[in-house]
Amino acid sequence: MAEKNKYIYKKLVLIILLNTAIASSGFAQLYPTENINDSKYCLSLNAELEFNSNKVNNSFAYDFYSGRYLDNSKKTTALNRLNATYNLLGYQFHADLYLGIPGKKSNISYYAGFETHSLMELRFNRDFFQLFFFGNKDYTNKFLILRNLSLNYLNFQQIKGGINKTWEKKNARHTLTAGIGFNNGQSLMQYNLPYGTIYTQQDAEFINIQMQLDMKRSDTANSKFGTENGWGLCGDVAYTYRDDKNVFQCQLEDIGFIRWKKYSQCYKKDTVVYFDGIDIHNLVDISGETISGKGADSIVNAFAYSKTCAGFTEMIPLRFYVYYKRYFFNHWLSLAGSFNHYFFTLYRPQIRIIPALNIPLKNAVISIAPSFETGGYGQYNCGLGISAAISDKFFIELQTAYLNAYLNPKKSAGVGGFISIVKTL
Amino acid sequence: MVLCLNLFSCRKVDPSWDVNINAPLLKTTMDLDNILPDSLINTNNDHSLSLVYSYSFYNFSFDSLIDMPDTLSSRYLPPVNGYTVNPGQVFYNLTENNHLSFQGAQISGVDFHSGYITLEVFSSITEPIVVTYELPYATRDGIPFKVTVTVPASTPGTIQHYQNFFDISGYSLDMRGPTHLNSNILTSTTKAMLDPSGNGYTLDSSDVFRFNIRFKDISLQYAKGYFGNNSFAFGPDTTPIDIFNKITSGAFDFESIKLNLNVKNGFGVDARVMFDQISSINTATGHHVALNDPIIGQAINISRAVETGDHANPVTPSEYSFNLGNSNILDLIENVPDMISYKVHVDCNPLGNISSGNDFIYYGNYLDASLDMEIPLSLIANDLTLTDTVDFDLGDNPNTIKSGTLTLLADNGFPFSAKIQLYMLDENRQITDSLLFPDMIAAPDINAFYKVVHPKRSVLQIPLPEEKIPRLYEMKKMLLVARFNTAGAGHYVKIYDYYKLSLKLTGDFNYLIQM
Repeated sequence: MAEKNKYIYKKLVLIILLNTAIASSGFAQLYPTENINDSKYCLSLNAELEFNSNKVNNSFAYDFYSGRYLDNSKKTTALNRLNATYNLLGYQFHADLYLGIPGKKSNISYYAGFETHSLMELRFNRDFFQLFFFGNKDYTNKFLILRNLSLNYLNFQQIKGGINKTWEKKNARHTLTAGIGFNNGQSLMQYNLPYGTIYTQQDAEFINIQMQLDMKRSDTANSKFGTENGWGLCGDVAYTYRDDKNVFQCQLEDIGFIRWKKYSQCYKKDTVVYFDGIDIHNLVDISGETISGKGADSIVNAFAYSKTCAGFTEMIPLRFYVYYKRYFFNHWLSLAGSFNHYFFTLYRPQIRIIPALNIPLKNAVISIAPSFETGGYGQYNCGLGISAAISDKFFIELQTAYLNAYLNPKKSAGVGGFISIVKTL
Repeated sequence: MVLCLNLFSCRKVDPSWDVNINAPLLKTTMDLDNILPDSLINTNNDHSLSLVYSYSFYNFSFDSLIDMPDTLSSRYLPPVNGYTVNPGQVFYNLTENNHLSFQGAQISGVDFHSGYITLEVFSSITEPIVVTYELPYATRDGIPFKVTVTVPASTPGTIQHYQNFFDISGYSLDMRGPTHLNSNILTSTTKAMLDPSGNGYTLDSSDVFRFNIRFKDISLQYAKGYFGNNSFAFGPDTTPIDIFNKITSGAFDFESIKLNLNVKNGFGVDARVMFDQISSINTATGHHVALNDPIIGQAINISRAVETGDHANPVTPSEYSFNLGNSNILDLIENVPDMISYKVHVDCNPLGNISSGNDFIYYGNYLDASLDMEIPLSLIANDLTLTDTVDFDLGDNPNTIKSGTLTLLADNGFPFSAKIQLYMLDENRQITDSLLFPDMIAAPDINAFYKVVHPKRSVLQIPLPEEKIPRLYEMKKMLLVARFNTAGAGHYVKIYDYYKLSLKLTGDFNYLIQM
C-alpha cells in the first residue's frame, strides 16, 4: 500500500512539475509578439520540453522512467499498441534567452540571444520492440525484420542576432524578421537501419544477421554542455501580419548546418553476420577470456564504429511554422491554428487548433486556451494554456499540450510543457 | 528508445525487464587430433589410425660415465718470518701438474660446453695482492686460459676472503701434461705479487695466504681417452608415462600392439646392457605387470658410436631394436600404466681398452633405452572413463541470467557412445555442483565392416535452474568426465582419420536486462 501511495505521489509530482514547465506554441522570442511593446528593451526567457510517441503510452514510459520492473503484462500491453512498421518516439528540449533592442528608428528593432537544443528521436517497428523487450526466442525459426529503424541524438547551442523591420499599411502592421546565428555542435549520434533481418535457426544452431547500417557520430572524447565538437551557421526569416482581428505569422527558423570536426566518425555498412557459437579449438581451453574476448568479436566488429575518423556536415533541424489567429467578440474569444514541422528530423507535420477565452482586466489580459493537436512525434493530444499580458510590459505563458496523457496514461502519450516570460526593461 | 527515455529524465532507479534469449554459445569439432597430439597419430593406407608413441624410460648420461672432479688446486704459502716483500715483487709462484681422478678413466682431453672456474683466496696481508691463475693447456681460439685479479688488502688482525667466477665454456683442455704422453693431467700456474702501486710488506709466521681453485657447474662438450672398464647398475627405479593419464577407470582392449625396445648408444664406448626387469604400474589400482620376454635378463652387446667429423652432427650412434611382439606387451598396455619400472646393468668397455685411448663422448649424445609403440586404433572400450580438469571462468556474476537450459547438439561420427558429466570445481578443486546430461551421446550405426555409416545426432539438455546460476559464475575449474563404450557388440572397431564429433552448445536463457 505504501509503495502504491509512493507511486501515485511520484506520478502527481511529475505531472505538476511538467505542467508548470509546460508546453506548446513555443517559438523563440526573436519575433515580435502582440503582447509586448517592441519599442522598448525587453528580456525574454522561453523553455519547451516535449516527449511524445505515436504508440508508446505514458504508463509504459513512466514505468520505465521510474525504474520499475517491466513485467510481461506491461510489455505485452505496450507491444499490442504498436504499429507493425511505424512507431515514433521523440524528445525535444529547447531553451532560449533573448534581449529585444529598439532601433533608433521606430520601425526597426534588433534582437540578440542564446539558444540550446536537445533532440532525441527513435523510429522503430514492432519487431524491434519485440527483440528489445522480449528477446529472440519467440522468433526462433522466423525472420525478425527490422525496417526503417532510426535513432537520432543531437545537442547544439546557438548564438543569434537579427533585425525586425515593421511597417503599417491600411491599419495593419507588417513585420519582416531576418537573422543569422552561429551553431556550436555539442554532440551527434545517428543510426539508420533501412533494412535488417535476424534469423534464429530452429535449434538455435546459428543466428544470421543481415543489416544495412548508416552511422554517424561526433567525437566522443568529450560531449558535455558547450563542448565544441563541430560548428556551423544558421539563418532565420519570418513574416508577421497583425491587425485588429487577425494575426498571421510564417517562420523559417534554423536554416543551417553543423560541420562536425575531424575526429567524428561516419560510415555505411551492409553487413552479414553468421554466428554459430564461439569456436573452441581445444575443449581443454574453455576459459572465460576465450568466451568473453574472442567469441563475440565477429558480432562486435560487424556493428562497431570504424576506427577511422573524418569530418562531415549535417543540417540542423529546420523549423517551418505557420500560425493564424482570429479574434471574435471584441477580443473576448479567439481561434488560432498552426502548422509546425521540423525538416531533417523524424518529426511529422503537426497541426494545432487553439481556441482561447481572453479576459480583459484593468491593465491586463488573462487568456485561457485549450489546445488540440495532431502530428509531431505523437498522435492526438489536447492541452491547456494560461497566459497573462500586463500593460504591454510583462507577459507570462504556461502551457501543456498533453492533458489527455496525464489523465489517461494507459491510452495516451505525451509529456511536456512550455513556459515563456517576457519583461520590458 | 531506451536511450531516448534515458535522456528524457534524471532517473535515480534503473528499469529492468526479462528477455528470452535463444542463441548458439560454443561449438567445436573434435577428431582424434584434438584429443591426441599430431605427433602421436599415424594414418595408415586404409585411413585407419594408429597411435605411435616413443617413450624413453632410461637415459645413461654423460655425468654417469665421467664424473669431473671439483677441486683443481688447494695451496697455501708456508709460514715465513721477517721476509719483506716489495711492491711488484712476486712472492708466490707455483706451476703444478695435478693428476685428476676419473674413476679409472684416462682422459686425454676435454672441451667445456659450459661451466666456471672458481678462484677463492684467503689473505691476512694488509696490502693488495695481484693473483694470476693460468691453465697453459686450456685454450680457446689458441689463447690459453689466464685470469688476473687483485685481492683487496685485509685489515690488521683479519683475513680477507676473496672469491670470483670465470667462465670456461668453449675452452679445450689438453690433459696429457707437458710431455703429451700422459692423461688426467691438469697443468696450472699460480702467481701472487704485491700490488706495484702499494707499499711493501714484511711477512711473519702468523700471516695466512691460501687459495682454492675449483670447477663449478661443468658440462662437457667433448671428452676423449679411455673411459675405463666400469659397471653401472640402475634401479629398480620408476619413471612416469603420461599417455594414459586421463583414463581414470574402465577398460580397453586393443586388437594388437607393435612394440620395440630400442637401445641407442651415442658414446664412443663399447657397452654391455642387461635389462633385469621392465614392468608397467597402474598406481591407481596398484596393479603391476612385468614384461615377459627373452630380452629380460639377456646381456646385449652394444658397439660404440662412430665419429663423423661433422661438427654439426659429430656422432653416428649405434642402434639396436628388439621386437617385443611375442611378449605379453598387450597386458602391459591394457594395465593402463602411469609408471614404468625398470632395472638395468651397463658395463662399459667390457673388452678393455680396445680403442687405444680413443673413447669419446659428445654433448647431447648418450646411451638411452626407449619403447617404441605402434598401437592400431582397433579396440573395444568398456566404460572407458576419461577425466580432465579445465580452467573455466565466466567472470563476475552480473545477476543477469535468471534461469535457462543448455542444449548440447552432438553429431557423433565415432563408433562410441559417450556419457558426459560436468562438475563445477572451486579454486580448491572441490566439487560445488554438477551439470549432468541425463542422456548420452549415442553411437552411430555401423556397417558389417564395423565402420560408421553416418554420424548420429543426439540432443542433450541440461536444465539450469535459478539456484545453479551463481555457482556457475563461482566455478573456476570444470571437471569433465566422459565415459565411452564402443559400438560393435564386442567386436573390435577401427578409428579412421575422417571420424569426427561435432558439438554445439546452445543456451535458452531467461535474461534480466538492467539499464
